[in-house]
Amino acid sequence: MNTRIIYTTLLCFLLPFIGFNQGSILIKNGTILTVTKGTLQNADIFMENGKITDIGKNLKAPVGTKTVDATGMFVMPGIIDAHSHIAIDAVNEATSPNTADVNVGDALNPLDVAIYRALAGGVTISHAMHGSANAIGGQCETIKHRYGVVNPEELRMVGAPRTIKFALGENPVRVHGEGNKISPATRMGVEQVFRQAFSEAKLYMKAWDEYKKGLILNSPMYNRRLETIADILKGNIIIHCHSYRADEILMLMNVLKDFGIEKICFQHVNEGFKVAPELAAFGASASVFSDWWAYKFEVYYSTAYNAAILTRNGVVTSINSDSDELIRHLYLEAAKTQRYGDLNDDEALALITINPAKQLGIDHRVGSIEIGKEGDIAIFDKHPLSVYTIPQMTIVDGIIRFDINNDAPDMRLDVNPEDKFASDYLEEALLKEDNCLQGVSEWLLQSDHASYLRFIYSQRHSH
Amino acid sequence: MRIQFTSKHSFFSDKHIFILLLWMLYLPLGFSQNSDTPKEVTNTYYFKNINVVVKPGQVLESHQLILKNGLIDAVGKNLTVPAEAMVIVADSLFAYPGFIDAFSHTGIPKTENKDQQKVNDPGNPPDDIAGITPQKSVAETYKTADKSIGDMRSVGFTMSNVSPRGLMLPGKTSLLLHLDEDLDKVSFKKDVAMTAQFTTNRSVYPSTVIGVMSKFRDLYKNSEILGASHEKYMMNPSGLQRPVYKKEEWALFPVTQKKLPVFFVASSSNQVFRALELKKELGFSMVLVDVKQAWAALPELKKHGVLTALSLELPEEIKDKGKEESKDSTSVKKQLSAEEMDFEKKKVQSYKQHVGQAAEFEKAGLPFSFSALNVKPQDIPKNIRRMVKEGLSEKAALEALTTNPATLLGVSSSMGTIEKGKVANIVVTEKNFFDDKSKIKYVFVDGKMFEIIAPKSDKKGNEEAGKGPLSGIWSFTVEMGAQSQKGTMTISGKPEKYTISLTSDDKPDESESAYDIKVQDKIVTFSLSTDADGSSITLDFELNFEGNTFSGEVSANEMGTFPVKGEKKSNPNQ
Amino acid sequence: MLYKIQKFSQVLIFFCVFLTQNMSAQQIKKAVSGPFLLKNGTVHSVTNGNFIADILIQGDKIVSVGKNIVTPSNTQEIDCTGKHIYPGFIDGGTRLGLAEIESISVTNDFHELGDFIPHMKALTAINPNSVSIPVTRVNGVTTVFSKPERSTFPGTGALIDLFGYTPEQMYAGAEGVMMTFPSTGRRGRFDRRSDEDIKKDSEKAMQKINDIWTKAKLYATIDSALAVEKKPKSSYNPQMDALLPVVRKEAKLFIEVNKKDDIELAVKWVKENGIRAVFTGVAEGSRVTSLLKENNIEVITGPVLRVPGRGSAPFDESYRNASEMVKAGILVAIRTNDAENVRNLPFNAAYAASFGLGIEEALKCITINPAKIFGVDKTYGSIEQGKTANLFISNGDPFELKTRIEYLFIRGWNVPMESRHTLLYDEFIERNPGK
Repeated sequence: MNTRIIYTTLLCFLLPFIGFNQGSILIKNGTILTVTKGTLQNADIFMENGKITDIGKNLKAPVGTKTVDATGMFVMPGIIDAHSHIAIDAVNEATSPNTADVNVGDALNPLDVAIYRALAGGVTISHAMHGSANAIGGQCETIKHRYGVVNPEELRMVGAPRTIKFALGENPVRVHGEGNKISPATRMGVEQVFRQAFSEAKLYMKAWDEYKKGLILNSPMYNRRLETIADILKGNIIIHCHSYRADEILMLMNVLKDFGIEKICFQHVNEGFKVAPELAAFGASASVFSDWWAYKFEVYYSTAYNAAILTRNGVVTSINSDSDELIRHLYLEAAKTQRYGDLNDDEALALITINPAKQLGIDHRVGSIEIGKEGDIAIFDKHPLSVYTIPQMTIVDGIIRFDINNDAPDMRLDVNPEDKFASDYLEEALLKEDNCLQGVSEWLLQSDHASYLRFIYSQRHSH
Repeated sequence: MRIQFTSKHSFFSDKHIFILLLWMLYLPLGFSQNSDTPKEVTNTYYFKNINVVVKPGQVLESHQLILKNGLIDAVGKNLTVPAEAMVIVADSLFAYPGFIDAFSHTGIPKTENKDQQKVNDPGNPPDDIAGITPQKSVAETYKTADKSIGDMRSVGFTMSNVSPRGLMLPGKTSLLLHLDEDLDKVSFKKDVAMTAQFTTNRSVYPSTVIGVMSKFRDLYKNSEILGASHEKYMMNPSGLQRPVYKKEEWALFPVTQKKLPVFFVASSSNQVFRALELKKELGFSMVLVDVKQAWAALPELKKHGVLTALSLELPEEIKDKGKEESKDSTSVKKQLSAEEMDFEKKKVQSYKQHVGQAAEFEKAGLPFSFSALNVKPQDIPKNIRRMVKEGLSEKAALEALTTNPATLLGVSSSMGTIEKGKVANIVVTEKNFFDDKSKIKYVFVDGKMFEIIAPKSDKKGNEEAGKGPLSGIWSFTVEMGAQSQKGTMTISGKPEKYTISLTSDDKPDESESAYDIKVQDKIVTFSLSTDADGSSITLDFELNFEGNTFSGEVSANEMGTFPVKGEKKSNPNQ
Repeated sequence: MLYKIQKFSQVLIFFCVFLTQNMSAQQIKKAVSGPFLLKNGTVHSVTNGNFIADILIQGDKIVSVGKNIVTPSNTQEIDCTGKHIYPGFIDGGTRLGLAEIESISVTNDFHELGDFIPHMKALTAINPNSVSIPVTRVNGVTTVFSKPERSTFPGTGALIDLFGYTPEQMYAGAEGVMMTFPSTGRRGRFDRRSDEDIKKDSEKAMQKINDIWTKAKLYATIDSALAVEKKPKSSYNPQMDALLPVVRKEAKLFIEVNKKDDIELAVKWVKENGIRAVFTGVAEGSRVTSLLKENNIEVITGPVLRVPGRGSAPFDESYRNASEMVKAGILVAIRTNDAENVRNLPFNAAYAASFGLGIEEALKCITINPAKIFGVDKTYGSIEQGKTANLFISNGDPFELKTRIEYLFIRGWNVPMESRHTLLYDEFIERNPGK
């Protein structure tokens, strides 16, 4: 335990120096679930400076390389969560139906102990998302769980494509229509938020284009919101859209078609199974809950077989957490598709590895165990799809970030010297009140919508 | 406490608001130049045999020092006493350059919570409601002889870099001397820096840190565009539309030109990195202020040449548990769980990091100043000594109080050291300032002498009995227009640890305890939460005690501010 | 308000339309009654070990477990060779049947107004047609304790079987008065009350429950005295009537308490008042195991799958909690504390199993242990002759996700393995028309 504390302290001081975030490590003699290239028995993986450089039997590493004996263990790619809200200090800029300009990447909090707890569930990458209060929410950030770093910059997965959160249905309608009496108050209104934004962004691009060509002399003003929307139109940003109902999913695909936008991953998408052929035809992907439903009306007609139906229809599907709790056992959530829809092991594991990697545009770097990919690995004592499995070690870029045999009770990095031990407990109600509508309640309190506020608080799920 | 306003006519009555406290007679404390006090007899001072700390690391023992007409006139041996001089026999006293606070709101009182203006579209609020007022300065809100000025002066600060209060971009800072005179007389330098912070009006855009980060960039880019358009237009307006000089963007133009630095309030580690991110991206010159957790950011700060004003506020001292237990041998030894031991260890580690931050900066060779934002002035000397105990050298501490801020704020030719010709800003102490028993005797600001009187000793007797001078039972009355609300206030304990509770006469069985109790001389501020229709209302009190009476005011969020007064009913012993 | 009513009526219309369409489109499967002979399966009896045997179900009972059972002529045989037979799982704390769509308050019946309302009866408001009920039982959960919550005395919970057309048909023979123990400390770092205030608030809260209990005892004394003198009650006091069995120690009080300090206070309180207590939630029970054991407190803990309450707690605290308590000799049941996802009960138990509890003990925590706590272990919680026929047949370990539950029996009825989730799957796996 003492050594662990010293280690953590050292991490705090040393990690700001560049180059410390990639390591070399040799994993010996495990059952390797590559996800994309089958299962290898009694095989080794060698990671050098953060990258997988060799896979095979009886690999040798330079003297002094850290070696992990994985005999009897299962080695899989680090789990990827395509929808979470950990490690960020702000989730919703809920003041406007369109806040494309904001970016939760500006609010990264590397000190969040939830990162460590996710690592303890084998998760090496998560997609830190803006909330669902706005039809066009903020931009999101794909992060690597390098717990121990203090500089938020070092949490970023540099080079991962830009993403943005959209949201359909009840949440934006409640927050803006019901809460502020500002359109959208219906799903019709939600559609027009998108059409307006895309159309205005086209005019904005045109104005700048003409200015740059010297066709107009006065410089247009800069508009960060429209800049972002313009980048979506240019195909530089992947849309991740909070959605539930079949009709609204179809609506957004129609809007995107009209504006020539292709990159879209529908999030939650509880009724995706009803329009799976349409999703497949559009080339849209889907990131779903394993079994969450009935917490609000738009998810009442759901099925836990959603992931299986989508997969059978050829839709690239992932299972996400959207929760500090579920992110701790995404392997269990993936395994549920074996009870609800008979997916085979590779299909089920793909839901939390290569498929979310595809949805985030990082599948050439992570999501499977292949030579050349990044050294993100999770090691389990039993098959990860067994309910009894326990993650043993989680490696990010060749560095061990979680080791069950080297785990101290208190793993926080951010310690308020004035905290008292007795007051550290958080009521369950407070634990549950996070996620997609995080921040909205407080903001509404300020806006004198007390009754609405109570309503939001009373919700156990706010996705 | 539930004070119910029973009148049907009260315009509050339908809201069932339960409210408290005071009206404060803002008596300028002591030093104002009104006709009741005699004029100063001289502005020349002669210190005999004083230890002059010329600058950090250079002490002239037992020298003579002359201040004249607001300037340092001479430092040397065997100087003649000018006829007009007041002679101060200063054997064993120390003279330090006046301390300079690199960032605070000294002299800018907290604004009352006004009724918030209704905003129809929270996504598109007026700039002032959004907290974007870079065009403002301290002029709008400076309060002559505000209590905070005397408080800062009494701990050796002769000047502060003062920022207006507000949200994201509250305005530009000014260097203000700590004199109890009007703004023109105390202003040393205007428009020193642009203040930026992550604070928001949480009900409108930008309401969160991500909103601030985005809006900052948006404003910055548009300010650049406006500046460029302006220059183009000035060169040759023909064929161009006249630029629209939007005041917020225009005020930021000097920032984009790197003519005006941004002083970014970045208390936490995450805020430090976020501000750095903006600087790296946009390229403005930046100083981080009120910095509390930047030890891990040191390499980055160094790399980008970002200077800092470290916070003078430190976490509460952690008492040594072992010692306490041995003192109280009767107490049952508590068995700590592994988790609790881990927790306590981390606390101590974190505590040392906070208090040792300045020492880390010194080790890294990164010069820093101090910021008095958010600290109680009376804690400052003690806190600096705690930093020294955690490894900061006295020299570096003194630099952070004098030469470093002088350089940072561009006034090193006139301040920061005790050298002939510089402004007569001097702190005179008994014993070395870093000695635990050191006391500040005089502070000279701009050549004016202020004698610092230690808090009266009559509280000592009370303290020994475990009671502060205000302990006792007080009656109070809140005036709300034609209505008034009466009740009882009980104060007990020592001044540093007063506990205060209030009971309304309407509901004598219910009492509410105050929190955030702060005592500065005779002024006591505290807050209290109470329920109104199921939602919680916070009442902020500010009471000024004068003998057996007090007066002051209570503000209740958007409900407004009301005068309060009261008197002592009984002493604790009676 | 009018707006809300309109919205709600739209919702109702939508429900009706959907239901009619569904009914006309589907062949309705109904439950079938026995007698049934389950032949040659591996019986996981929970109380008498595992063995291969036949089981005869007749009426709502397991009438026989063994070999060569003589069966009535109309017995339907189910070959269970290679299959596993488990007693139905029991969830010790849910809102199932009381909460339908949690964000729509009018569909929620687990929180009545008032802070002292122990007479509010969950059984009254159980909706036998809740869509969540079939969704739950097809995972082997046959019985749940559904309870009101949030107030200090929010009402009386009821143990129900997850099959039946009326609450009476579902009622499984146990009710329990619920209590939420005041949370006395700081509620986390956002709680900005002063230490002084917190102390005062705790004292106030304790004062309140002490007052209630003093009055309840007095009420019981008077009630007994009146009964001796055969006098009628002098006033209508349903709250106090509801507490009578608890005050007289004829019934247990189910006390929701989670934080270590609160648990310590609660133990002191029940001890002082001589209450037969079951603690529920008990998230930090692992920190006070000996205290709980010494005072014979029974525990319904869960969910297991939750984030630890403290930032400083080990990541697996909630996973290990049940195990630590069981090891200390405490009678422990596991609950989900959920509504629509009570189906995850076996996985909650499985996590406790992996993190120290072991599979056998974990199984007890969702079968015989809750049956004991609710006082129904003579009829529930294991596969034994004479017990209620709540059981299921699976092709393997029911905690494992790959395992299929093939048959489900509740009160002797063979209930179809069907729910909204399976029906939607059947309809949409091959949509017609497709694209």
